[in-house]
Amino acid sequence: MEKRRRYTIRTFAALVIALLLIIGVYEALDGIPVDESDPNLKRRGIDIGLRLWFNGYLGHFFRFGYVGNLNWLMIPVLGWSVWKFRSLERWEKAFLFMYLMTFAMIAARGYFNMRYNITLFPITLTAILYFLWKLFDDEAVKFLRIPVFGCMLLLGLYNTYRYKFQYPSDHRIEMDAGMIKFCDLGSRGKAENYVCFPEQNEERSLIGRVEDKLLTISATVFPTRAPNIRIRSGDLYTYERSLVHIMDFIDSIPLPDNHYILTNNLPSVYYYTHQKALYYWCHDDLYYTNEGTESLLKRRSAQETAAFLVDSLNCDYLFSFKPYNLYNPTWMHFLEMHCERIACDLNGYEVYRIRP
Amino acid sequence: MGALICKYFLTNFLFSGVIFLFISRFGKKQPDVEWLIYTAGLGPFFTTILLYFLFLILPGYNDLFYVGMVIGIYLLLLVWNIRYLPFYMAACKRVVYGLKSGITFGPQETSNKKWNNPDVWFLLLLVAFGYYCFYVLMFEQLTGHDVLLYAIQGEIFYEDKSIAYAATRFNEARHFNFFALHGFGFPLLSTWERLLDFDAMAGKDLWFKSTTGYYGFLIVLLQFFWLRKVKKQLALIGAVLLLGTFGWIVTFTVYHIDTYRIFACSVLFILTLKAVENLKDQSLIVGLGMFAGFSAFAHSIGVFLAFFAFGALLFFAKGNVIRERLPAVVLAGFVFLVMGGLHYVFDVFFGTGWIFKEIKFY
Repeated sequence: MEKRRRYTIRTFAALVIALLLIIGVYEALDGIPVDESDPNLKRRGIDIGLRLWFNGYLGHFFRFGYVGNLNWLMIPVLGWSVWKFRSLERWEKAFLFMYLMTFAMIAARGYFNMRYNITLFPITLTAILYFLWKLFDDEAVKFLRIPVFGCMLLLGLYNTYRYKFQYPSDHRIEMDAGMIKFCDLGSRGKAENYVCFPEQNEERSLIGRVEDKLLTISATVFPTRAPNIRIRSGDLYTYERSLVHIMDFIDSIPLPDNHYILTNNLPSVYYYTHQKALYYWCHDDLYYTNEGTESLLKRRSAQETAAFLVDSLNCDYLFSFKPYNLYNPTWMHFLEMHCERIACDLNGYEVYRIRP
Repeated sequence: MGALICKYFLTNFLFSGVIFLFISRFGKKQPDVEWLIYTAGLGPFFTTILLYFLFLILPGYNDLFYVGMVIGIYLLLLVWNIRYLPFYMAACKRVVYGLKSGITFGPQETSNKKWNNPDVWFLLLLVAFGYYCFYVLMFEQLTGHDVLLYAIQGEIFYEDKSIAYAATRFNEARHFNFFALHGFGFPLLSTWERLLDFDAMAGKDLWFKSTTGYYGFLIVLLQFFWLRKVKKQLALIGAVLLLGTFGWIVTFTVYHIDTYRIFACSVLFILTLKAVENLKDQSLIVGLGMFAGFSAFAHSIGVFLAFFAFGALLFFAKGNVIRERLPAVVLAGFVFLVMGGLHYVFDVFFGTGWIFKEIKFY
């Protein structure tokens, strides 16, 4: 009876501490103002000190927005295992060794990519569940499994609810109806009938509005789902994914032989179109050639860059993505001064014609 | 859709079954459902290894040649290991029986209260996720940056029918630079799909896209299988937490390399822990080597993981260091090299230099 009471008090104390810690991390991750100076670091959620540590180096345990809010429970398990190392079974020692080495390697070299933080997630979750289950193996305290695992389920699912609307927000683009239009290039007849516009909610039926809402939620939860748009092809209105149409549009651009489309870190041009492309990444200001990489904007004015692109690199058009443009102010300036936007979609993909 | 089913039947079911038989050859105790899950992921991977060596050694032939060679090698493996077929059939039967009775794996229990059975809820969860994955597969395109790079490189392998190492991986015809540092395992999945299409472009990339969900399911099964050994209810909680974590939902449903490489990493972990306790079981050592190669050939992180696994084997396994541990590491290391490790050796000495150059990570 004494043991039961002792365990119950300790368990509930541990639950309270865990809850406070989770709230503390939420505050640390979400409560601190975002540092806007580097859009790349901002987008990766590692913009300033505490977020760099929690989302970056220790992201495997504390990047709650991606790996959930339970992975950090592995820290006491690891601590305890290190403390009791000599008495561990061989497989437990091997596990500890592999786990810590892998974690250290990812923390040191892969901290910037949240996808790497999830590498050990299934193993970690399994280990935590196994360890916690074993902790309450004693017949007298088995009943505590219900509140402990019940809390884990609630916390885990709450975390998903909390973050599901936040994750893709970096790439969510405000609708900009006035800017969205496809220009008729008069080639191959593909682009000429496309007029793209967002539906106005007030004009829509109830079912249409519900449908829009569902699609918006879907797009928010699952980033592959682009915000739904309507494409008018002649008089026909259909729901379509926008990428298809902007790719069709690029495909329809009449490019002479050995002329390219400069693509700003967007390989989709190679995959979905027949056009030749020149790969460029504005964040690093590098374009790729068969000999490696070259700088585009460095030591060139905006006008010189435009002339260089058209005359030397044979690039008359460029394909970019709104959020990427923010990574480099010089690039933004170049786009504003010497490029004319001829197509865009609600994902933020844009096609420009370069004006030397 | 028919093409997708055929590709699944051939690569994910038949080829994986042949690998199951091959690994059975090395085991004293015959593998069962556990190995069925592990090897279910090996069919596509082993196919990419075969393609890799074929493109390296016999470049420039037509589609039929490569498809024929791959199927021929699998047939040889099948003939060589045909006597283990009953074990494979028995393991499959056990799964089918389990599914029919509402019990996925393990001991066959009889219960009238199926709705109280966590296995039934697990199955429902899988069906729900399966439906969503199928929906995504049918309507979503490849849009992510990295996954498109892999898919394009896969197309280039298909067009070139060769793999060559150079300081810059630049394709002149497309003006495309593949600057990823990782192995070719994932791009070659796309190549295999194109080879099976025989220029018909049936479905184009449906099978390649489906690998994300397929390996995601295998990871969920893996976790469920192991936690179920402790308690069914715990296994169900684990599945709900895994499938209910936002990052995992994204990983599971957004086309990428992650489930592919994480599956390899997870099985590598498990096999290492098992091998540490039982060095005498050669199937564990060969399996460990295969998954170390799989993990590495998929992604650079896997190379490090392979070395950590070998280190764990050397430092913590049962048995004499020189007579037992070292030979086991040498055997696993050899399998690792053949199954993907060699790529990095070539890349370091004749190719891009892999990580031994100036790298900007982001």
